[in-house]
Amino acid sequence: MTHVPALLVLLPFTAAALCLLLPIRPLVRLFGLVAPWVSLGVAALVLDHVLRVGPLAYAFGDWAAPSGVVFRADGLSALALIVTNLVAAVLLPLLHRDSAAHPPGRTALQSALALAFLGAINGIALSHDLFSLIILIEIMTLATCGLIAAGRIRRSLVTAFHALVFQSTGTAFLLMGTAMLYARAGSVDLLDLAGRLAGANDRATTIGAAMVLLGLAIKGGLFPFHGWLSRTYIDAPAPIAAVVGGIAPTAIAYVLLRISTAVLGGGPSFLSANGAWGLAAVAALFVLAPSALAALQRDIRPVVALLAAAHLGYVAVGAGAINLAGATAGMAVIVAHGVAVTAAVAAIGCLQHAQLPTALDQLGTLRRRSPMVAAALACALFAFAGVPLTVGFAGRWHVALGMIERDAWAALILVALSSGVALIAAARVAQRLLFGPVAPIERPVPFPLALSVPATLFGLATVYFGLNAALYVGLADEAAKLLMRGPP
Amino acid sequence: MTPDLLLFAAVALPAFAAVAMLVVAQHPLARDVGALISAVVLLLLTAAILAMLDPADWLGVILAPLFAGVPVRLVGEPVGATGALLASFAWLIAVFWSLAAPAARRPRHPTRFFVCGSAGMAAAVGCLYAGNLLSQITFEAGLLLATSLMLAPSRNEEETATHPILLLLIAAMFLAMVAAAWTFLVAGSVEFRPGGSFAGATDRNVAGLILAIFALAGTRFALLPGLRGSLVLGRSEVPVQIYVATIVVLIGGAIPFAKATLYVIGPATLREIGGIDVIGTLAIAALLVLALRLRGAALAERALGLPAVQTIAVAVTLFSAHQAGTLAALIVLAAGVLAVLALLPVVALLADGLGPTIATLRGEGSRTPWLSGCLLAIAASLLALPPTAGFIGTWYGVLTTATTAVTGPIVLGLAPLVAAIAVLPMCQQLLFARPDVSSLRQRLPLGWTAMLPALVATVVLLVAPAVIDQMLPTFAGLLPRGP
Repeated sequence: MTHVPALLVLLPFTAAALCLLLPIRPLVRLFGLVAPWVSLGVAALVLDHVLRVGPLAYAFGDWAAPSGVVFRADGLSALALIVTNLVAAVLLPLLHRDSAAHPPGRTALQSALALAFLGAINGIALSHDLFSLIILIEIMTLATCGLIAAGRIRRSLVTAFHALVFQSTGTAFLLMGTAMLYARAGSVDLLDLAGRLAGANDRATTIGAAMVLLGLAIKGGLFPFHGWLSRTYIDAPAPIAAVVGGIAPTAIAYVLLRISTAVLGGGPSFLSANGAWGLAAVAALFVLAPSALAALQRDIRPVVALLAAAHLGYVAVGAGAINLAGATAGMAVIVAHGVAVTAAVAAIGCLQHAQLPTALDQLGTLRRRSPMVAAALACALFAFAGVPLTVGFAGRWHVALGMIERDAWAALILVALSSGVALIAAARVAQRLLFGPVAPIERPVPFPLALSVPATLFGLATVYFGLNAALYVGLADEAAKLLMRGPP
Repeated sequence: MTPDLLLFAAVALPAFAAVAMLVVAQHPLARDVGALISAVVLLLLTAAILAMLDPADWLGVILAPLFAGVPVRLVGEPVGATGALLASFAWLIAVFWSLAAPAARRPRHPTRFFVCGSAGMAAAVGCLYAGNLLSQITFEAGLLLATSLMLAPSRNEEETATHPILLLLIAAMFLAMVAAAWTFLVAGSVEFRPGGSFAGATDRNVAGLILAIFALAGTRFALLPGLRGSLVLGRSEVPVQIYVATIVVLIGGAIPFAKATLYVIGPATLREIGGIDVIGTLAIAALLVLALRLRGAALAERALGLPAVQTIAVAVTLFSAHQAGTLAALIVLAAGVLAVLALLPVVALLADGLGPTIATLRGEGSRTPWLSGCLLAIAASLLALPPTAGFIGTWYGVLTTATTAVTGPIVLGLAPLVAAIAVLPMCQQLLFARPDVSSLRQRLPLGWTAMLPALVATVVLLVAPAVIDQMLPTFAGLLPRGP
């Protein structure tokens, strides 16, 4: 069982390499179909082990931390693995059914990129040192850009370049921050770093921590750095947009939560002493501003992009609370994000693929074409707004608990306000979906299975996990307790 | 049928009806019959639940596990069950009007009204039967969404005009969520318990702040008439007015607040907190603002301002913090709901036949004897004249609030006076002013079917005192005992 964490990374990477070495179409399709599901199975094994026995660790070449590279799986990483692999297992096998996502002659390359993307995501969830994290995040970035660029329209290439610029900027901050923290603490291992930075409040630590967090915010697509994700939703092939939008920000949000809570939580003052007002600023920038902008949009694509960015902002708010409820909130939001974004982006993909109008006033057509996809889109948006009985509510509830526990009243008011504004934005879309006029369509284009199936499944999942939030909130709570306990 | 199944059915039936009506939207007859049958069955279900209540053992059913130890749960307890019965009666009158009113006064989008109204009723009933604060918030969100879909059909004047109502609903939901989260941290539970969860769990300042947030969420619509241009419902259709004014505003605001006061804060803590004079003074100020706002208002606006008056009266009565106070608050609420429910159709018919302002009613009483009679009965109840339901509510309210502070009786005495400002000019113009000769040739387009909802609501209002008198001892036994 100790080798299992390594398997989660090596298996998709090996499958990706085989796709390139043996570019036989049926074989490539088989790899694309089997590898994500095997990866999900292994992630489930890891979760089971973590729940029954405790955290798992695998030291590459038996080189122990902090010198060696060690993959660790605790409650938090196991939960992140399950969410990202669940989304990947549904989306990746369906990619080959879409000609835009797999253009003729590029099937092997696209499959290899998708599997490398999955391997990098698994590695990010398991990696416990900053250096490995940077490498794996870079692999994810390159795979993301390659996947986006596959679109047959020229704008896809521009969007891929746009994403690369954003991601490179994020990497630069991440790398410089890591270097400063390493210079200060002499280690890049997360557990080791947490111990060495405890109580450190010097300028180098503060700037280094801020750079790391800023880099992650850019790479995760938090507002106002969400531009590359917005463009991806619009210009990338729709199934690719669903893969990238549903998995990449979720994985980066997980890293943000782990680093800010477990590593930097006891260090720089801007994360602790000035907490209450700093938290209010974080809530205003990352949550309230995008929610307010979303309520003003007249097209569904920016509404989804902004609400998703605002939703991810709750991870930053939860992490900034530096308490148990905040960390639980962060994890609950990550789970909700993976599910809701996938449903929303896949539903938008259906609209775009069938060349249906995306203007809010014309969304009634989607209801006529596919009530299930329309319902999935509405459920996802309500989840972003934190409406009870959707997957988004648990996160919102724990954010409120974290704020009250922290006495961060200003942040609490801003969070409540932004939830209200997000609800207005979601309700506007729901009104149009339910009662909007239906435009006549002469030659209806059928929705691709690669999009309608994920949209429906994850739309149902937003409600299922909303009704049974105990399924993941209990685990998130346990993981948060472990995280807040700090290094042994 | 077992009690827990009844509770489940009371929420599931309107939800199912909403879906069914959406499916049969192309067949108006099936849709209309479905709406009427589901409203009647819902009324019977809520009455059956009220009859089956047991003070020793609250019946309950879990709908969804939600978080560990905090499920979405429905319980049958007297306060929520009374609210549910009133709400289902109000919904029946709204549906009745939608089917029986003159064609011009029926909902312009009947499918939307029935679907959103039924979904809203499922949420409202769930909110009233909620077994804990989290369940209450969950159903409040449903009520908010259903109401927003009903009120804002398209981008037109109505949509922007109804924004204050939706914004207040959103604000109330998130205020309730903050109060619930704080309660969870302080008391370690969000469950409704007969004695409350706060006894000995926290100091009176924190409890007072949480109570203030609950009060703000529960009485949000008392602010509504004070907002400029917010009596917008006057331009909506009558069934929408009935649904919003009675179910969403009056019952949906007062009952959740009553439950939070009684079952979370608890009578003992409420007494420790004190502050009834502060609340009373605020309530007096709010009533004076309302009186000024209602003085020059049009016919429909006068009727729509009254739920705010009743909300304030109920809230102040609740603060008297013992069993009799809760009982009195419920009577005040029931009298208020029945009066508003009867008044809205009467005013709509008068405005429809004669004109939208008070001046157009001049001396028309002789030509509209039934409507004039209804209006007089309603006015008597609103003015708390004996032997109406309004009198019984005010009487018990004054008796119970007088034991805690002097401001309580003042508020309960002031509320009928504010109602008088709204209603008495209508009666005076209708019955005693000299008729306008030029209007005599006009014919009121009123048939018996159009007047039936108004007549039924008025008859229920007139019968209510006898029913309350009969039920009072039994009901008092159901309520949890105070300190």
